[in-house]
Amino acid sequence: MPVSHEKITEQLSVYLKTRFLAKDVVLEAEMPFAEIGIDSMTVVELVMYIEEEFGIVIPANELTSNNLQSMHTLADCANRHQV
Amino acid sequence: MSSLPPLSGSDVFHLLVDRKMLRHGQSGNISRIQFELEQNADLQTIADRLLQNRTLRQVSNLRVAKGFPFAKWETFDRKTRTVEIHAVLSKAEFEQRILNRKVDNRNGLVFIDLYGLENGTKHMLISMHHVLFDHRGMVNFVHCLADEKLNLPLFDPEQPKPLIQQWANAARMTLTILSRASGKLGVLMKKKALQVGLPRFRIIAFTELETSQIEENAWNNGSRIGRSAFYMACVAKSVQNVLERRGEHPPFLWFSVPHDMRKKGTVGHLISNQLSFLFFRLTKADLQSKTTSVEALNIQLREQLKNNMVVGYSDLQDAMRAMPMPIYEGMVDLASAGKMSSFGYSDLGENPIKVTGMCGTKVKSVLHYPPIPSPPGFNSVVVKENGQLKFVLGYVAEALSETEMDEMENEFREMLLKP
Repeated sequence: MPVSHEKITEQLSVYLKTRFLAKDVVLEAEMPFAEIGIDSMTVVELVMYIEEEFGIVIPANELTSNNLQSMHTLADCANRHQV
Repeated sequence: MSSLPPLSGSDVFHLLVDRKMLRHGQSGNISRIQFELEQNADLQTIADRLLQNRTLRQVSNLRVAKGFPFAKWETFDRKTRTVEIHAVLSKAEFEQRILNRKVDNRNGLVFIDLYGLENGTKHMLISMHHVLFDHRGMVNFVHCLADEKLNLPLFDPEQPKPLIQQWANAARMTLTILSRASGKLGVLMKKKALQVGLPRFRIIAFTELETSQIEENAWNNGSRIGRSAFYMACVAKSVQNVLERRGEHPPFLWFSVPHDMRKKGTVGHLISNQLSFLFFRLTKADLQSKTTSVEALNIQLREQLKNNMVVGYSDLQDAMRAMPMPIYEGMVDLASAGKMSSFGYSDLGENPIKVTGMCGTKVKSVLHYPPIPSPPGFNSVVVKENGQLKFVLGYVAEALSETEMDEMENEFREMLLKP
């Protein structure tokens, strides 16, 4: 069953908060990753998390800076590539 | 002051690297950040303001003390000066006195030089022992120097993880490293170099237009998230080419890349490293082209992230803190026959040092000189600033001659720029 954009965003948010973010960081879906200090290595981990958690493989040529800007754009991209 | 925390695993690893560098006659595991100041900068005024800076006073009075089970931080009453003003320096004096400035546990782990150069420019250079700071700590320290009102915590208030979990991860990582490592890795430093000379640096800067071309090449060669795999591939291929011209044909290159383990979304603390490492091994087949190199790096990166190896390695470093240094060093040497790695590489990303002024003086540019652990005797750092890429290549003569470095620099530029 397809996963909704909201569900992907919600789980990404939990994953980011528990694994990478300092306590009390306020996270919003549209916040640019760069603004909260999320580096490219962490973004790789987020893409891999989407693959493992939802079985959604984002094609390599879709891993553009526009698609990897924030949780919102990443969830949007993942949503478009659900089988 | 109340009791200070123990050193982290990566602090102790930096002490191990320092020990090796000192043994080779180097000034130690020291990072340096240089600021070019406006030409009418009054160095005495800057020095006076720096000496009033609370953060500088706190940091310069810190040192490493023995402790059980781990070494720990302690404050001491530093008797030596922290800031020195020089008259105009020649290039040779700059290399000898500033780029080789020693900071150590006995005299203090940080020092600031203020000087002019013969070309009329004025500079401030901070020499910081790597046991004090990881890169984010250095950035925070610089920001505290630039803004005297900024007040950041010295140490991380977060609690360390349970020891049992740490030791389980450490055991898993020891097995992984010992099963993969080998002393056959290629390295630039010549075998008989017991002592090495002064650090040397080449700065390779690209325009905005060239940077766009390089980023396009990175994408076309398979670098997707970030461009680092492409830059690493180009550095590795350049190293491989030098070795081949020498008639050496090592079966592979092996190198580690620092991985920031600090929590994100906050400015964070100053003191102590929170670093892990990613490890890469490129065989001759991988190094056939930029594309094959990038592909191999991508596969290895995913595999390591999937298996949580950065956390495992960080735990291994923490566990090794309890080990006497000679045994720790012996274990590290065992994995690489004492060569450590084929080269050093760090990607600082978008320049995080947002400093336009320092103690009332305008800052024109910032440059980071990395330490050059020997072996391998060659270290590379990439940073992007205002849309322009800059590579700092640090080396010692015992690893690369000037002729070899000339060839390598040209080749490296071409490799990055050529589609």
